[in-house]
Amino acid sequence: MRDVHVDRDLSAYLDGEVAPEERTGIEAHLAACDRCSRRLAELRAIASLMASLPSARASRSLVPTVTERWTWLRPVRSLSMLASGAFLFVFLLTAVARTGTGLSGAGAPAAAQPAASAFGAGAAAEATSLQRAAPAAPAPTAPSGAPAPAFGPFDSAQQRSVATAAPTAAPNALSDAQKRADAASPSVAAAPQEGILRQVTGADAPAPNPLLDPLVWLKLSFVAAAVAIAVHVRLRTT
Amino acid sequence: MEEGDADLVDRARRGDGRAFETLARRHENGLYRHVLRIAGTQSDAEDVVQEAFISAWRSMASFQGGSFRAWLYRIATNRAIDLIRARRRRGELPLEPAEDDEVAWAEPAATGPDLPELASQSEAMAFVEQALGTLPAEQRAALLLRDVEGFDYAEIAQITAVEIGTVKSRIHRGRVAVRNALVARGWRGAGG
Repeated sequence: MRDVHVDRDLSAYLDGEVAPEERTGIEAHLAACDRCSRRLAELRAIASLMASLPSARASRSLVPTVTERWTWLRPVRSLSMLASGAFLFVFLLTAVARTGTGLSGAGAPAAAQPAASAFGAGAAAEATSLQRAAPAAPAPTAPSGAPAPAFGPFDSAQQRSVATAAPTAAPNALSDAQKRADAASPSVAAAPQEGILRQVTGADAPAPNPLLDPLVWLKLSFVAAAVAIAVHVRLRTT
Repeated sequence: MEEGDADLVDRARRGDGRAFETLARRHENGLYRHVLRIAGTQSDAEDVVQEAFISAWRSMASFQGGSFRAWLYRIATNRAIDLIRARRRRGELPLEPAEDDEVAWAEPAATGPDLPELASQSEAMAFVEQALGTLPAEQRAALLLRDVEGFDYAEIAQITAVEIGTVKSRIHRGRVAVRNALVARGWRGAGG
C-alpha cells in the first residue's frame, strides 16, 4: 500500500488512464484509505452527473451546403457561350455576303440604263427591261443624282425604301414608254404596268431564306449570350 | 475512426460534398452541445460550429486520418476558445480565472442531500452548468471532452494540443471544482 494519498491520480484511475503497475498501487491504497475512497466516489458521482447533463439543440441547421446544386448548368453555360460566338461568326459571314450582293446589285441600274434608253426596240421590249430593272434599281429613283445606298442589305427599312422607291421611278420611265406603246398597241401597254405592280407588291418575289438574313444570326447570338450570362449568374450565386 | 465515418471521410477527402454533409449532420448536435458550453451563448455557438464545418470542408484534403470526430472537435474547440479570449480582451467577458496547481477539496456539510437525490433534481444540473461556467476555458474544454463527449486522454491531448499530463491535471481539477461547487450548495458528498 502507498502511504501517501492518491488524490491527484483519482480521476485518471477512474477513467482507466493509469499504467497497470500504477493501478495496482492505487488500488492497494484505496483498500486501506477511507478518505481517498470517499473522494473517488465523489469524483465518480460528478462524472456521472456531467454525462447526464441535458443536451441543447441548435435553433437551425448548422451544416453548410457544400454541394453544388446546379452543376448540370455548367455545360449549358459553356454551350451557350460557344453558340453565341458561332452565331456571331455566321452573322458576320452573312453580313459580308449580303454586302457583296448589295454592291453588285448597285451596278444594276447602270446596266438598266441602256436598256431603258433603247426605245427604238419597241415599247413591249422596253417595258420588259423596265420590269427587270425596277426592283434592283434604286439609282433611277434619285432624281437629284444621289448615289445608290451601298449598305442597304443590313437595313431592312432601307430595303423597303428601295422597294418602294422603285415604283416612283418606274412610272416616270413608263410614262414615256407608255405614250409610245399606246400608239402601237394599247393591249401591250397594260402588261408592263401589271409587271411593275407585281414587283411593288412582291407577289411573285421568292420568299427570302431566313438563314441568309444576318439579323437572324445576330439575334440568335444575343439570345445565346443572354442565356450564358443568366446561367453564369445563377452558378455564382449558388 | 468511428464506425461508418471512414467511407464518408474518404469520399469527402476526394471532394464529395454530400459525404461531408452527411458527416457534419452526424456530429452536428454533439459539436453544438460542446461548443455552447465553452462559448456560452447560443448565437456564438451556432456561428462557431458552422464556421468549423466550413473550415473542415476547406481543409478536408489535408486531413491526415485518425479520428475525424476528434479533428472536428479540435477545430471547433479552438475556435470557441479563441472567441471567448477575444471577447475577454475587449472587456465583454470577465477575466478568466487562473489555472491553479493546487487542488483544494472543500469540506462537505454534515447534513444535506446525498448524491442520488441530487442527481434526480434538475436543480443539480443547473448547479453543474453554473460550476462549469466558472472554470478556465481550457480546463472546461478538457472536462467536457472527457465526461460529456467521451474522448480518451490521448484524443483530448490532440484536440487541445497539449501533453497528456496537462489533460490529466485539467480534468481532475475541473471535476474537483464542480464537486466543490456542489458542496457549496449543500451537497453532503459521498458516504457522509
